[in-house]
Amino acid sequence: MRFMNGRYGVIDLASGESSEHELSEDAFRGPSSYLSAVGSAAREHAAGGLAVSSGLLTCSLTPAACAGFVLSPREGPAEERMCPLTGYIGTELKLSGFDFIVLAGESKVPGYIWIRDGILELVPSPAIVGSDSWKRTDTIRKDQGDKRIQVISVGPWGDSCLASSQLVMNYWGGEDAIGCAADFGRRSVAAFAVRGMGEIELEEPEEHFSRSLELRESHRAALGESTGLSSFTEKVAGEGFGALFHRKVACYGCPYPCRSYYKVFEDADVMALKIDEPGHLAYDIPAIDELLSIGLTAREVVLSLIACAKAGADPVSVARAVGDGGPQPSVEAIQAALASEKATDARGSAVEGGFTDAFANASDYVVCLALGLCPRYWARVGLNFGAISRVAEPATGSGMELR
Amino acid sequence: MRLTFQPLACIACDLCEVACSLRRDGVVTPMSSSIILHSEDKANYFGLVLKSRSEGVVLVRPEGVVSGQESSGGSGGPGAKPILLREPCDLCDGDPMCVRACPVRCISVED
Repeated sequence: MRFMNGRYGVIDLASGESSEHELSEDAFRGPSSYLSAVGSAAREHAAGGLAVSSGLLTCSLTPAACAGFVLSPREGPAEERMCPLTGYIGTELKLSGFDFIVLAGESKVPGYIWIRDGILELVPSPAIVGSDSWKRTDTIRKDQGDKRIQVISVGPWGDSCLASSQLVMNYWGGEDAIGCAADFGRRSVAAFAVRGMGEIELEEPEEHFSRSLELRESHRAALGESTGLSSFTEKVAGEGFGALFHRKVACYGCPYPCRSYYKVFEDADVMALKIDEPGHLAYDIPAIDELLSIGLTAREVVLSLIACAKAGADPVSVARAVGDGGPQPSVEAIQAALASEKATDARGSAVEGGFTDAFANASDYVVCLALGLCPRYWARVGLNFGAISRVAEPATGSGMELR
Repeated sequence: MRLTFQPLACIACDLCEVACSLRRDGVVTPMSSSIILHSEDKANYFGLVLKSRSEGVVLVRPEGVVSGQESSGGSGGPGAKPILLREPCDLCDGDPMCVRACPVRCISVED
């Protein structure tokens, strides 16, 4: 099938050796068969193999085709084992030459996975463990000499294999509602870094382009223009967050972004690059809800999100731990909870506004991720399989069984 | 005819870059486009870099647009193909695909 690499990589973490494997055409018949192929490969190469994957349409011009996913080896239905990847991680992975990567076994020395140009390796880096997730991303980008490297960063909470740890995408959190960072921590994998500089072929590029624009325009007519995160939650529509709002930001290919950057260390109106770390890119609606509910102000919420992201901790779980008794909730109380690794329960699925519960039907969420489409966007516009199929076909060159 | 920009309208979706690669090579790749996204994501500082025939390298930065640059200031990092080694924008023979692809009208055409 066009629009896929047709191969996946396996890294044996114990030996550091990597291998490549072909995927059969059957894997690309549709989202169910693709997800099945990813799961089978993860099981085939190791008991408890962990997979990091792009989706069937990731990197296409289908609206909001940014997504990938991590498939945890734990027991349970797919929706409870999948951590969405948004931003640019899925697209960079697909352009790296692999459709997905299987992490097998456990590393003896802490390090990070580094993928580019069809090369997959484990880079030993004991010094990186213990550092916060932001420093890991900075270190990897500096060491490998490229600021566009996308990093799934594991913070100290993931190193400690805590249930309420959270994967951090470069610098921001919100996707990982299942404590997936602990799956990396158990393997002594401190981060997963990828840069895609390859190419993906399409069957009919111009037709795919035209059809994607038609579909997007129909969405635009229904949606209007996004104002960023405030288009998705009223909780950030007031003056508190308004005074901190800098710019809205999209993931790859999204015409209706849900991400808002809030500045807390310089004036929100500053557009020039003056300081390296002026604020936080927020899109974790349940986290904002929970932090507001314990009495924090907008500025304190953003500061708490930064602290949780650096620790690689789920802000929902941390806010609940702080809110359940103890001193008056504050940024200092959040930081103390992070330092003491207080908050033992993962956020679970009973929170509204996250990616996991974007759809009323869990199977739509799973299909969306296997397709490489953002659940939040497609829940908003409606998961119309006929429309997706019409856009996808000129890219892939064949019809897919979308259900 | 030239491309014009509203820098603050950009949302960093990267569709202009991909549309350009589709036009040039018929594939999705970050290596061949005449326009590239430059981002300092931790600081939320982002914009576009265009290699133009008539104006040299054009930097579309949040604080304004500057043309006639000799260096890109945003090559996409040393791991990517620097903008100066790429083909200049040919305006897609009059109907630029980056303009059509941009969902927020950050890029437009001026005669």
